[in-house]
Amino acid sequence: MIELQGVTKRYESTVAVNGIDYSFQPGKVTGFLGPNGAGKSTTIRMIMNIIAPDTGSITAGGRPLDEAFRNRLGYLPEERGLYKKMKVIDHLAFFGTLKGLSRAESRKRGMRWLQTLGLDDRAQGKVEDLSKGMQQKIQFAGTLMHEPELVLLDEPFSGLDPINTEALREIMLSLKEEGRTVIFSTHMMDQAEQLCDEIALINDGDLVLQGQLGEVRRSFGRGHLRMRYSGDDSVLSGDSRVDRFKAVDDGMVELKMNDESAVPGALRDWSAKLDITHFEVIVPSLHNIFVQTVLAAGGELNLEGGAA
Amino acid sequence: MNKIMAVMLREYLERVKRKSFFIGLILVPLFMSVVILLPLWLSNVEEEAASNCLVIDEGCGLKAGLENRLAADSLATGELRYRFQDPLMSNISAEGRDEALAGMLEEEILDWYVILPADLVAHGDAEYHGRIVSNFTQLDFIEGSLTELIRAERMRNLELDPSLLEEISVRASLRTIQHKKGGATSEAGFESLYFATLTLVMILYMTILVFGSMIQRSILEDKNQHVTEVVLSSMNSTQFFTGKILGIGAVGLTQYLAWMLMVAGAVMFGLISSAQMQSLTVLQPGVLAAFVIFYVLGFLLYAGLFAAVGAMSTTDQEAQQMMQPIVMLLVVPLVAMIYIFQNPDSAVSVGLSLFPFTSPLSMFMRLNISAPPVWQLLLSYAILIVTTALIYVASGRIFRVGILMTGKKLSLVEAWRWVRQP
Repeated sequence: MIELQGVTKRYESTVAVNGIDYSFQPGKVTGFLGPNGAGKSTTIRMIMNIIAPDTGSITAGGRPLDEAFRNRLGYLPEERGLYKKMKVIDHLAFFGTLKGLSRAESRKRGMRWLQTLGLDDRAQGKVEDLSKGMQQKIQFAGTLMHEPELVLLDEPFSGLDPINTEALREIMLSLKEEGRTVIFSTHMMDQAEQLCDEIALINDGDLVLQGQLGEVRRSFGRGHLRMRYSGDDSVLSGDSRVDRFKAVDDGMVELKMNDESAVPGALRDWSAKLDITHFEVIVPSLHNIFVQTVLAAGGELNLEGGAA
Repeated sequence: MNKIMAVMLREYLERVKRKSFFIGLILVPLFMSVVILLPLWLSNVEEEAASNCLVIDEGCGLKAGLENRLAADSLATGELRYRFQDPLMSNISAEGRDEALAGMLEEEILDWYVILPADLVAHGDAEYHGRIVSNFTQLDFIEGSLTELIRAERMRNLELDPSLLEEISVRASLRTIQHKKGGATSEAGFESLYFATLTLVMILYMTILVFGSMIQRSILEDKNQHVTEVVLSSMNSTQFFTGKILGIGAVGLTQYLAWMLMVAGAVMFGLISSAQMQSLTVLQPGVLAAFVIFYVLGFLLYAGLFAAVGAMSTTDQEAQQMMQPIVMLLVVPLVAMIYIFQNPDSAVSVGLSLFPFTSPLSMFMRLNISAPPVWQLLLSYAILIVTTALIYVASGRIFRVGILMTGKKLSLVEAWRWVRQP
């Protein structure tokens, strides 16, 4: 599968991508996560050979990605666009021929996709006469009609209406079932949480965290507690086993312990001094993980950055 | 190659299938023939009305002679063209004459009158008064008639027989025979050669301009519709670039092919006489071959430039602005055309026909009127081919960067940096 080694891309004075090493897992859905401007799109564009890295290599099975390999990729760019004046079916056929399908085969598959999408009556109509939602569907079809083994989706959910969001999620899940590899970038952590097997967190051009989603969450979840109680706060704030202590709404507090193994002992001690009505070990959200990771790495959290 | 074909076919079919392409196919030749034929047709149309006129003789004695000549001219209906209104003068005194005549013109009783002064034979100056003084055919006719009458009168004064005049009058004419390389001669007149050359040069110029700017617009459109990224994820920028230029070039060829078929059809059905077509045969086959070569190379060279402009700009206005210097280069040979015709082998003409941005038009002009040395022709091709190749590399690099920059215009300085960066 695709491997990035020391991939770096500079623009003028800024480093968009800073020496990333990463191997994408075949047959998995990988979320490429990070705030706007983190370098996600730049990385994906480099994989698609739209722009070239300044240094580093992008290979598949040890070989550089050639045209034949890229014919087996499906790519949905962040900036969506279609030729407005073209007939819908002609446009789909064009997408097919771009990936090396014959014109006849492209038209056949295009028609099949239109039937699947319920747009077969619009085949001879112009793209500009379709609603925005329909155009988005045409764009998905164009990305997938050559049945790519690997699908790269750059911010696929941005700008989608709720119906198409759901449709896309189903498409992505069925791609996964078919054993295809899906890589998608997003800055919306909850989308990633629902779909990803693997995650790669990127911030300011640096890869700050990677691994299986479940493992990452479990490793971050250790020692995260949430409880409701009545009694003296100093019992908690004065306890050296507590790393952080924060009141959240509704009389609830969240705690982060220094050491996971201290939880049972601490719970025993506290229950003697406090009246605990609610207690749980929590798994932090991807968002929290991300915030924590970036802050721990001494980085500045750049959640309001410009588009990558 | 398949990828280039995919882009080329889309570009070609989307344009050829458009209604505007068909309308252009029909309208352009229609418009051209109207522009060429209408003035010819109009000048042949007889003006309808006869005119009321007067010849006033102040004593030169040529009144009768002029009137006789004018009276020989009749309208298409057979009616006399000129009606002399001499009775009008019967009650008018010599002092009040000019005022009275002016009044008659004013009241449209008279259309025009001529005053032949007493010393006309000595000096040759007469006066024409009329409400309209721009009827060239009529003025020419009167001038010509008076000239002949005065000559005859002068001969009579010299006691020579005026009929000798006809015997000694002759108009010399030059038959032009062009000697070309290899001893071939052709008898084409300068005019037909000039017009045939002008036609082909205009075709070259228009094609480069129209289809060049089409490429620029097409690339700008792709940028603005955000389709470039999907295309570039499947092929490299050179393939994309080449496909676009070939696709639009093919549209141009299709159009000319269709027009050639139309002309052939028009000849077959007798709408155009084959004699009119003969004017094109003043061009030799070798020249026509050179035309095709310059057509292709010139198009490709400028297409490369226009493509770079399309990739560098973000709006039509910006593109128009950047296109101006390119169009100027293209216009130089047109401006210099008369000069090149008169001095086809001067240093300036040779320079223009070697400089790659002016050579397609300039060398083609020279080929038509003189026979430039073969080495110059070959050098011109060679320079053009090398320049086109360089422009392609440079434009391809600008294109690769510019095509993805949708937000901001690429400055010339930046563009140059990208050109130098492989």
